[in-house]
Amino acid sequence: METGTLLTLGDGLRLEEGACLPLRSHFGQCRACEKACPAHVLSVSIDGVALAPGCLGCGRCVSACPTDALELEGFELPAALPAGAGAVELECFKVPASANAEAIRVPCLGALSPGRLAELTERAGARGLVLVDRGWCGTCSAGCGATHPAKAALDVLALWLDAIGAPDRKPRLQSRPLPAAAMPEAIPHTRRDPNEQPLSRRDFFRRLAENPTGRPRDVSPMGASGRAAFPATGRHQSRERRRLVDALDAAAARAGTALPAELFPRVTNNGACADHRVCTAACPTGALKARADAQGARLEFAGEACIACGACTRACPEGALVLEAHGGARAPAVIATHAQRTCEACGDAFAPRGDEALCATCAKSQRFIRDAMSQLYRARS
Amino acid sequence: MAKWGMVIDLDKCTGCQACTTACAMENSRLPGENWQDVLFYSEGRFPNVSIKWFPRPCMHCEHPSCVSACPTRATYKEAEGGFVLIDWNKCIGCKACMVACPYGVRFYTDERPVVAPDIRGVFPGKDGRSWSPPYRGPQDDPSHGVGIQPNGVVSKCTFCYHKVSKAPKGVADLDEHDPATKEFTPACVRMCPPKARYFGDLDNPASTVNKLIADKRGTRLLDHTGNKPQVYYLSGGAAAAVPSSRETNKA
Repeated sequence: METGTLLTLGDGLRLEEGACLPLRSHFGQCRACEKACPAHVLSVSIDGVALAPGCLGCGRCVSACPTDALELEGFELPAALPAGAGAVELECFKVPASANAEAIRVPCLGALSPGRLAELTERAGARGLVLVDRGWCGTCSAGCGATHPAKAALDVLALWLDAIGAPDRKPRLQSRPLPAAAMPEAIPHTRRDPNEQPLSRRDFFRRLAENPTGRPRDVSPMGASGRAAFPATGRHQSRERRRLVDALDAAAARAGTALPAELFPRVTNNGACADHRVCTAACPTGALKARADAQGARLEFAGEACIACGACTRACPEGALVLEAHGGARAPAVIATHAQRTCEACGDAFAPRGDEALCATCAKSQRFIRDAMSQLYRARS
Repeated sequence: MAKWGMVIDLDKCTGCQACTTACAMENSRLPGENWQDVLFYSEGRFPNVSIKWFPRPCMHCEHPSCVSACPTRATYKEAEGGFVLIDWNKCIGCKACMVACPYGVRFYTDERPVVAPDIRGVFPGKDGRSWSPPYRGPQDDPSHGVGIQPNGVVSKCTFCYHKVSKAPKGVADLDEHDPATKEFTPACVRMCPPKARYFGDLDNPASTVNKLIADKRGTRLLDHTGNKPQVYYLSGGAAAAVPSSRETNKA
C-alpha cells in the first residue's frame, strides 16, 4: 500500500491511513479490526477509525487487518530468533519473564496473523514453532471464551500447509498451564519505555493538538506537497498477503509442490465490462490493472496480490465483476478485452459498444445537448 | 447561507467562447481542458440550417448524482453556498462520478493532451500538479478543487468558489457592472461580452436571477433526472416553464 500518514489512535495503536480499506473509499467495507477487538473499543467508518478508552493493547486488531494498516507500539517480531536448538516458543506479555526467558514475546498470541505465523514458521525451520498456552486465555479479558485466540490463524496456516503437502512444520499450540493466580489483570505495557520521563505539561498539550484522536480525516496529506491522498497510481501489495505467499512459496518449494488455486481469489467478468476502469482505481492492492495499447484495452487480474476485499465488485458501475475468494490463478490473467476506436469528436481512444463512433463522454454531451434543445425549443420544432 | 445560481440567456449568447477562455485563465487549465465550454448544435440541412450555441458549466445540482456516486466523499455539496465541489485530497480518480453525471461536466484529463504538442513538457508540474502555467492565479485550495489540479484526480467547474465564497453576506446579485460585487463574480459571468450570464442568490426573492427565471420562464435541463440544477437557461420565451413538465403556454 502507499505510504500514507501514520495516525495515532491512542494507547500505542497507529493506523496507516492510505492502507485502511474503509478509509480509502465506500467500496472497502472492511470491519475486520472492529470485529476482532475483544474490548469493543474500535469503531470504523469512512470518517475515520476511532479508539474509545479501554484498549487492552492485545494487538488482535493488528493481526485481523488484511492490509497491515494497524501497528501496535512495542509489537515487533525480533530480527534474530532466540538461540538454541529447541523449538522457537511464543509467549504472551502476561507470562512473567521468569517462566520462559527464551521465548519471543507478543502482546497476545491472537495478535499473530496467518502471514506473521507463516513467516515465523519458515524462519524457525526444522526447529518448529510452539505457541505456549498457559491455560489463561479463557479468563483473560483479551481472550475469546473457550476458543484460543490464536486458533483461527493457526487453522488457516495449517490448512494451507496441508494443501501444499508440507504439514511437518505446522506451528503447534502447546499446553503448559500456570496457576491462574499468576496472571496479571491487564496486559503489561512493556511497549512503554520504563526509562521514559513523564510528559511535561507543554508536551502533553502539544500531543493533544497534533493528534486529535479518532479524527484522521482532518489530517490533509496533500497540503503543500500538492499530492492527492490516495492517487489512482502507485498501488502496492498488502504486506500481510506478501508474507503469507512468500512463506508458503518457500514451504512449497521444499515439498516440491505448487501453491493451490484455493489460495488465490478469482475475479471474473460477466461480459458487461465497459472499460470504465473504476475498479482499477478502487482496487487497493493493484491486483486489477487496466492496460491499453495498439491491440486494444485489457483488464488484467493477478490473484497473487488480491486480498478478496470486494472493492472492485462494488465499484463497477456495470456490475460486471464477480469475486470468488478461492480458485483463481496466481499470474496476471486478462479478464476483459476491448477493441479500441478513436472518438470522432475528441480523438480519445475508447472501447465502443456496437458501432459507436463517439466515446462515452462525447456521446453523453451530444445526448445532453439534443435533450436540452428539445426541452428548450420544444414548442418551435 | 445562500444558494448561488446562474442564468444563461441562450438568445444573447453569441458563441464567442470568451467565457471558456476566461474560465481557463482563472482556473489555470491546461489548453483545451475546459471546465466550461460552449457546445454547438445544428439542425436541418443547407440552406435551411440553424445553429444554436449552448454554454455548459457544471450545473451545481441541488441533488447531485456525482455526490451519491463518489466512494470517498471527495465530491460534496458545500453547505454555505450550495456549490458542488471536489476535495482533491480525497479524490482517487476512479471516475465513478463521471459515469454518474448526466450533464457530462466532469473531467479526467491525465491520459492524453487535448491540444498537441503537449505543453506539460514545456511547463512541467511540480509536487504532483498537472503543470506549472506561466500565468497562475494566487488561489490554491485543493480541498475545494481550486487551483492547479494534481495528477490523478477528477476536476470540474467550481462556480469560481474562490471568488463567490468571499462575497458579502446577504448580497442578492453578483454583477460585473456593480463595483461592489465585481470582484466576487465568476470569471465566465464577468467576461461575457453580450451579458448572456447572470449570477445571484436563488434563495433571495429580490435577486435578478430569480426575476429572470420567473419573467422569462427559466428552465432547468434534464429535470426528469431529479438533479435540480442551479443553472437555468432562458430561450426566447418558447421554453417550458419550471418545472419543465408543466405543459403551459405552448406558443
